[in-house]
Amino acid sequence: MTRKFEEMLAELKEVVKKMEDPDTGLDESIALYERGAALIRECEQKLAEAELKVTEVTEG
Amino acid sequence: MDQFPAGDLPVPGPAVLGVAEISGIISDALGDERFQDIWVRGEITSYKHHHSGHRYFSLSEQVSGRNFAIKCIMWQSRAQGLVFEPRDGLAVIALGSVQVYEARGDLGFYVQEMLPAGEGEKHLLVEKWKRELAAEGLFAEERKRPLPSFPSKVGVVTARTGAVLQDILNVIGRRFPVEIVLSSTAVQGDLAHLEIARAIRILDARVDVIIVARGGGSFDDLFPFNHPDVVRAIACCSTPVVSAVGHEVDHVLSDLAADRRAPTPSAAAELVVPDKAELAREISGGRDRMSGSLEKKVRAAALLIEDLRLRLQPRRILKRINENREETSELGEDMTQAIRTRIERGRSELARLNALLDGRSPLTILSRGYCIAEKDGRVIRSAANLSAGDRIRLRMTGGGAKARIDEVYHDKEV
Repeated sequence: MTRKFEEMLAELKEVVKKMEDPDTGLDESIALYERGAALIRECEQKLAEAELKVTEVTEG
Repeated sequence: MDQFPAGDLPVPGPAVLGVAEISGIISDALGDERFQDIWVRGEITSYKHHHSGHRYFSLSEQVSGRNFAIKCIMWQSRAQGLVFEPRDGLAVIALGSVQVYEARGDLGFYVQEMLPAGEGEKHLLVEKWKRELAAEGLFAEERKRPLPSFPSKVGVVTARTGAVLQDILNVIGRRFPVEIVLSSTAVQGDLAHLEIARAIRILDARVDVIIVARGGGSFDDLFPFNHPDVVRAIACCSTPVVSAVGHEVDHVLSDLAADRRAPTPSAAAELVVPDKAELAREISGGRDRMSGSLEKKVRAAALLIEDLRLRLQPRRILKRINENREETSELGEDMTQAIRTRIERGRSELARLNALLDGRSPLTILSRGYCIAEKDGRVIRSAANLSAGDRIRLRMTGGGAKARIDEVYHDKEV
C-alpha cells in the first residue's frame, strides 16, 4: 500500500462525487467514468498486489 | 480572660484540661499534613480479618534492636480495593492518615490503600514519573497526531520471538499486507527500558507508523514501559506511535505518551492498516455509483433529445414555411399596389405639366390670328428695332412669308 493508493482512492471518491452532481454534463460524465474506471482497475490491482514483507533494522 | 483587680498579682495555678479538651488538642495536632495522606512502610503483624470485612493489624519495624509499631485500621470499604491478601510478616507500604479514636484515646493509622512493599514502591515510582512527565507536557492531548490512513511501512518495536510479533504479522497480513520493519528489543528486565527506547529511536522517520508492543504480564513485567526513557523516546518520535502493552486492563505510561493506545498488540495492528476487504467493497461501490449516475445522465439526455425531436417535426416546418409564404405574397401585392399608385400619380402629374406647357407655346398664339415677325432670325419685340427697307420674316399658322418694311411708325411715347 502506498501514498499513491491513497491518492487514487481520494480521486476516485472525487470522480464519483462529481458524477453524482446533477450539474455535471454528459460529456464530462463520460470522461469522468473513463477516468474512474481506470482508477478502479489500478486500485484493485494494488489491492491484489499487496503482500507482507518483513525486514529488521538494528542500526540507528 | 479573667480580670484581676488592680494591685493584685495573678496567682498562676496549674492549667487543668478536660479530657475532651486534650482529645481535641490531639485531634488538632494530628490534622497537620505530616500525619495526613502519608505512605508508611512496615511489616504486617497481628493481622485480623474481621467478619465485618474491616482489617485490623499493626505495621512494625525494628531499628537498632528496638521495636516500633503503629496500630492500623482498614475499613471494609477500603479493603475491597486490595490487590493482594495481607498476612503477618508481609512487608507493605500503606497510604493513610493518623487519627485518634477519641472514645478510647487510641491512636491509629487509618489505611486507605496498601501494596506489597517492593511492587508497591515501584507503583509509587510510576506515580511520581507520571506526575513529572505530565508536568513536562509529554502526555498532552494536543501532541497527539492522527495515524496515517494508508501506511506503506509499519515499524514494530517488540521481541523478535514470541506471540506478539506473530499476532501483528497475522493481523496485518490478513487486513492489508504491507512492509513491516521490525526493531527488536528485550521487553522485560532491569535494562529493557534502554533497549526499548533505542529500538524506537532507530525506527523513527524510517516508517509511517510505529507499534510499540508487548504481551500480557505482571506489573513488574510491564514496568520498563513506564520508564521515562521509553516515554521520552515515544514522545520525541516524529513518526506516529501506537502503544500496545499487555492486556486491556494494563495501563503503562508509554500508553499516555503514544499517539494512540491499543488494548492489545492485535488491536494495534488493526488500528494501523485499513481492511483490504472493506476497501475492495468501497471501490466496487464507487463503480456502481459511477455506472448508476452515468446511466441516469444518459437516460435524461435521451429524454431531452426525444423532446427536441418532437418539437422539430416536419409538419411544424411546413406550417412555418406556409406562414412565411403567405406573408411574402401579401407583401408582394402590397408592393405592386404601391408601384401602380406611384405610376398613376406620375402620369397625372405629367398630363398637368403638359397642359401647362401647351398654354405657353407660341404656336398656340399663332392659331389665334397673331403672327411673329423675325429679323435676322430673331423675334422683333419692338418697332424700335425696325427700319424702313429691313427684310423680315413672318411666321403664322399654316406657314410664313418674307416681307420688306416700307415705313416705320413709332408710338408717341417712344
